[in-house]
Order: sequence, then C-alpha cells, then structure tokens
Amino acid sequence: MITAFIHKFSSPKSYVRVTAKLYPFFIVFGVSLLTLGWVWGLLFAPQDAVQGNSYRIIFLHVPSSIFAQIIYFFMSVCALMHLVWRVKLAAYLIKAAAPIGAMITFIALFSGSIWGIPTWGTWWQWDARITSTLILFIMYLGVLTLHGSFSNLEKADRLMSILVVVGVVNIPIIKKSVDWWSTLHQPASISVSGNTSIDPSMLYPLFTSVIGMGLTLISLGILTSHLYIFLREKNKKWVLKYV
Amino acid sequence: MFNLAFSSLNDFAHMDGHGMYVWPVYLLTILIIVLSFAAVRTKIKNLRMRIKNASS
Repeated sequence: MITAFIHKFSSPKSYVRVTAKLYPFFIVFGVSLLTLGWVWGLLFAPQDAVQGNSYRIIFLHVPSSIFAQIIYFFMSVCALMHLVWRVKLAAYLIKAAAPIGAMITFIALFSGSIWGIPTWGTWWQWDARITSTLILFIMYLGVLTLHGSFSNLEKADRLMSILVVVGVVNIPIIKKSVDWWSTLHQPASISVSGNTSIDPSMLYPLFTSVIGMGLTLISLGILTSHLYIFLREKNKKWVLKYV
Repeated sequence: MFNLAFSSLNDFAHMDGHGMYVWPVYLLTILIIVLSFAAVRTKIKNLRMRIKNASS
C-alpha cells in the first residue's frame, strides 16, 4: 500500500507539472528575500566588535554552509527511496541536486577561506569542520563522477544511491565537529534549541538570507531536475507533449 | 535596527579595509548563481528544440 502510494505521487510527469507551477513563487520570493537579507546585512547591520566588517561574510557563508548539508541530507532521503521502493524520480532528484550541492559547498568553502584571512590570519586550516566540509564537496563530485561513468543508467542510479547513503555519515560529523574536537572554526552561533549568541540586529538579516538562499536553491533545483527528467524521459509521450 | 552602518558610499565600499575580503565573496557567489540559472535555462531551451525537431 505504501509502495503504491509513493509510486502514484512520484511520477516524473506529475512532479514536473506541480513544480512548474511552484517555480515562479520560489524564484521571486527567493531572490527577493536573499537580496533583502544581503542588503540588510551589508548596509544596516552594525559592525562586529571583534571582527569588524569582515563578519559581513556571515550573511553568505552561513546560508551556504547550512544548505551544503541540507542538500546532501535530501539526497540521502531520495537515495533510500530509490533503493527501497525503486522510485526513479528519487534518482533523478539526486542527480539534479548533486551539482547544486557541489556549487553551494564550494561557495561555503571559498567564503570561509576568504573570511579566515582577516579573522584567523590564514585561508586554510586542516581542522575538523573545514576538512569534513571539504570531504562533503568531494562526495558531491564523487556522486556525479560515479553516475557519469556508467552507460547503464539504471545501474548508475543504484550505485549512486548506495554511495549517497554511505556518505551521509559525514553530515553529523560536520555538524558536531566543533563540539567533538578543538577546532579553529568557532562553535555554532545560532541554534534551533534557542541558545543563540548572536544579536537580533545581525540575526534577523541572517535568518532572511537563509530563507532567501533556500528558496533560490529550490528554484534552481526545480529547473535542474526538469532538465534531467526531460533528458532521461525524452522518448516518452508526455515529454513530447509537454515541450 | 535600520540605521545605516556607514557614513558614506566610500566607507561602505572600503569597510575599514575589509571590503577587499567581503566584496569578492559576494560578487563571485552572485556570478556563480546567475551563471547556473542561465546555463540550465539554455540547456532546457536547447533540449526542447531538439525534442521538437526530432518529433516533427
């Protein structure tokens, strides 16, 4: 019964129909909120007492770091769905999300490195947080490379899903690395449990940037997934009708 | 909360010497995101053309 339910609501055709309607909402609200958050953070948030103005990279670095991990977690849920219930849409979504995950992880690493120059006096340190994030970036590239190395796409989908599930162990390591080890990277400044050490004048633009970045990445994900679905199903009647 | 953090446009650009770190990060990110959207949209457009031509 669960399998029938999942297969009914996870057909690529209905996914494309629904997400094509949602796309304008995500792109408009995403770009607007991201612009608002960044303008707010860059122009109106006060200067940090310790780090000066270099801390303004936070409005880009934190959202990108959060979504670098969330996208991989999303991929691992899709991978489980593909392995357990053979949902082909789930495999398509992994393939569509992986380049976006790689891109946003690169932005997180790059912005962190640049921020490190004035703050730590170095652009790179092999500490637990930074190294585990680099491993996440390599995992994204590995997923893409593995899938691209097979001509049998169904086999590629399965092996890619297995790799994604195995690699998800890195996500809690990234999250807890600043607590488990003594790292140069600071512990989390914001927490869902309420122990937030950041002033509201900086927290609100940061929160706005996180939501804006999320919606922008979802809209990019929708576009990328449509491209991949059309590529995989280009010989199906519904694709011919849709395009 | 909505007081400007800088007294002039020059101060805003310079950010007490930190502008050289802050601006490249934002500009590169905007460039990467815009190029990603543009690349995917172009690929979809080309694929649609290919599928249409193949079916006609």
